[in-house]
Amino acid sequence: MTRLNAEEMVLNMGPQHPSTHGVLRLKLKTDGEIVSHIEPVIGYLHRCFEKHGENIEYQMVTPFTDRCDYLASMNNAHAYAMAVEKLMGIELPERVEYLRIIFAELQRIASHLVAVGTFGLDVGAITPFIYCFRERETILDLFEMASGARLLYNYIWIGGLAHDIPPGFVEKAYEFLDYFDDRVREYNRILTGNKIFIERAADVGVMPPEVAINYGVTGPNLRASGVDHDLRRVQPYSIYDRFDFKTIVGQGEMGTVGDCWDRYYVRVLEMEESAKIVRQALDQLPAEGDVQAAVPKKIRPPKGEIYFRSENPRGELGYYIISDGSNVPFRVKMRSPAFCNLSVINEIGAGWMISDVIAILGSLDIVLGEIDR
Amino acid sequence: MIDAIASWMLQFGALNWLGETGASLVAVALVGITLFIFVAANAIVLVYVERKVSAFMQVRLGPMRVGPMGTLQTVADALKLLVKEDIIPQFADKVLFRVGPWVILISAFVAFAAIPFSPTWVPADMSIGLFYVLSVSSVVVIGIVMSGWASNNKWSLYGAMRSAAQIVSYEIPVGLSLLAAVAVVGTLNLQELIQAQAGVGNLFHWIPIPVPNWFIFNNPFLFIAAFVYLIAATAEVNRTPFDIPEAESELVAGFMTEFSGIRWALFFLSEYANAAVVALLTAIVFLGGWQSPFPDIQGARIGMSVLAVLAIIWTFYVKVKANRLSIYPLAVTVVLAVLAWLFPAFAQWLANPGLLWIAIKGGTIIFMLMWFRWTFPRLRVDQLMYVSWKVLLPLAMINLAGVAIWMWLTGAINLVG
Amino acid sequence: MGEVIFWVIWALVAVSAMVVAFSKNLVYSVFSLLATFIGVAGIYIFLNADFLAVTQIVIYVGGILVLLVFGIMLTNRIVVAKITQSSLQRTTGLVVVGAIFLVLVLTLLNQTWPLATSAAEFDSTVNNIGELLFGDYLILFEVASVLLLGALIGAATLARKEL
Repeated sequence: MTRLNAEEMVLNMGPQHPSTHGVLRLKLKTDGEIVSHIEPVIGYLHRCFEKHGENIEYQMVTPFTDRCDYLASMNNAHAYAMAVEKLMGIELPERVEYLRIIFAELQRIASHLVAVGTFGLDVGAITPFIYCFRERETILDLFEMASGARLLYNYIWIGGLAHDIPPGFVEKAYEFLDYFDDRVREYNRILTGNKIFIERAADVGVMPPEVAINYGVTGPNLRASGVDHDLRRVQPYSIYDRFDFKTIVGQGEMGTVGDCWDRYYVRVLEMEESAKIVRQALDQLPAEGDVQAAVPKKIRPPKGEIYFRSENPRGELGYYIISDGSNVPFRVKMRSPAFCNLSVINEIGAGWMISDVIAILGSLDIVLGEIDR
Repeated sequence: MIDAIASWMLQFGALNWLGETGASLVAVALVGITLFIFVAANAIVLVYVERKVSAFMQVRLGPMRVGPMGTLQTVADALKLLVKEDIIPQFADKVLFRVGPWVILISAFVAFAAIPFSPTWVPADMSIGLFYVLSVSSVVVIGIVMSGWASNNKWSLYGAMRSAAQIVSYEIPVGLSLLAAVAVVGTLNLQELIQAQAGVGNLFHWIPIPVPNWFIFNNPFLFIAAFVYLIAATAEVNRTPFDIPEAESELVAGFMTEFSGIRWALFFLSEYANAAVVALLTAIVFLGGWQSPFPDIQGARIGMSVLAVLAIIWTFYVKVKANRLSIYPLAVTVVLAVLAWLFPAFAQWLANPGLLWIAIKGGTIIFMLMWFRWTFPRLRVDQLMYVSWKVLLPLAMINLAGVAIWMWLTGAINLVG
Repeated sequence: MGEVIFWVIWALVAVSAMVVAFSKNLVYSVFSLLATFIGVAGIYIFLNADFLAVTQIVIYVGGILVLLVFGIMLTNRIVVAKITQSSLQRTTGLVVVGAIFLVLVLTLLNQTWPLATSAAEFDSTVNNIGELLFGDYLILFEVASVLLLGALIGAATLARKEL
């Protein structure tokens, strides 16, 4: 028997839609509730990051990196600073490295909290979102203490930090970690183990490892597909080789490896691991020391080019910088993880229902600021 | 009740000119207006309560600015909605766009006509009350499809389609689970259903625990039927986890997407009116309606004491488990128990059937609906249908058969005769 | 008062039925059926058939009308708001309808109708209907339900994606 095929309807999801995480537009071809093709339309948030990079001095690019992935500003600035430092061959004081790790990992927790919370929101659970934001608020308080800002910090500079952490920061950070230890259990109780949530997320939008690798998907999404790949482990940068933490890989506990539930749960567990790293870094943090290496006022890296990659909360963040020897970069190219992660949406989302497409999009955890740059 | 009001009016000489017809017309109008005020007030209060409940569940404060504790917030919101610009999309079907919200509101509103609020307060004491309530609430779906289609918006249409499929599917388990209770007494009259639940008896007829004679405790099948009804009814009034017709993260706002101002307020009125009908119907059919849980003064005293003891256990449990001191349930129940022992009049008042009890029961059910909403994620369309057709429907049917067998076993009916 | 309400209901049924028949917009036709069905339910109440009236609303409004709405919205291109109907074969239609009308009028005139001498005491029909359905007409009732079950299973089988 052949199925009766109704006419396909094109549905414009976005750019103004509650679940597109910013101003993304998805052109959905739908047959009833079933979506047969998804075409992401991007660019609504384009702010010429790379063109700016070609016209301003090296230090002045740092605040712009903050604005790319606005949920992981610290990580962005960290990667950019490390790239330029490597190009110039700057040696950093110990204290700077530890503080940077602390901020980067706290930021990873904050970013994953948003990812986990909004994924719950996408499948209709409103309360976990608020819980996640409660914890994120505490992290933002810590950042505010250190940098004075709550979203765009401009704190990690080339050659060090903008300034030292204020007194009392370390205690506050410990306090947060003690408080956070118990939270994951709370999320598991309200969301992870919920039958409806499992029904909505498990076995939905399965991304096999080959597909993930072919599309260049990185970060928690790749690890959820069962690929053990974490740059902090595979190619340790900064001082990540000094810490003891696990790489979380999707196990497919509730369904298939690489489904939405795995992508969600990998993030939940990664928050625990990040908390572990922060605790170790706080323990080992040198009490005294400079927070700025000897960097010339005008940064003029030698002629040459560099590609530096680091593990951002969303995946592999790469900066490709070409220097012509002047104090203005010749080219700053950013390899944004969310851009590559979004590209897989049609591959894993076609054939599912509208509600599933929302869940899949939410589980990919995209930030439009970074996709459009 | 209408006859009573009419004859009461005719007792006054000044109103004699109305005549019998006029008096009953005026009585009908009075009851209608009262009910409409009730529906409006119900929505305003419930929106506030919902916001507060959700706030407390989410570690927030909720509305705090307008009035003491934010109590006037929803009044202010309602005023704002009333004076908002009336927008009808250019390519919408103007007539149906205007009519749709009213169809929904009216079908939600007329259901109250058969709801007994106390032994004497029932707008229309119908012999087919239960069936009537079910039938008029099935008209809601026409209004939803009408407004969804008239909006000429794809999201609205999706919402309307989903809603139509959902409401039609869930009407069946709703009807069957209520039928199980009807089978026990053999009447569709809501007053008679409540009257059959008077007094105190054994739990499930044989287990020697004294419980009120409510249908939920009447037999194990009705116990299940009550939950089947509550789940199916939650779906029928489109509340989370079954709120797929509005599904704000998927369909923007479903069939309400294009509505604003007063028309949108009408949707809210009817949503909470529907929730109230579901809660009241659960209370009436399964929880004894306006019946008091206590049979007499002594019963009220002992019952309140049992509740106080339970509250003490609960307080200890919370203290041990979560290290939190929840004092309010303890304080309230202990004070009420002490009052009941001290003043026989108070105990008598507790034992009297009336508006108080149906309000408490209905309020509890509404709180449960809110609890669901702020705890659960949303189901998908096909899962929703699965729940209705493959879980609730067979369960409701087995229940119905089970009730019949149970009644035969307990001797309530005799199959031979 | 009863008479006034009766005529109001009668007018509602007549007008909405006219809209059903003559409206160019098929969707209006379907939605005005809502008024027709509810009006007919009102007339049933005047006939003391309370159970039938409520059943009319449940089955026709809650079931059949929703089905019709579905049918119209799904068979047409739902993206286009305008769905029209055109009355074809007016002559044939007129002849058939006229014949039926004639038969009905003749029956109406030839029959002697018993008139209620006074306002009859309102008595619920639920119990009688229940006893008849589960007593005298039990076999027929069961046969009908088996037929409907068969139809339901058949529809579900046809609608399934994988066969």
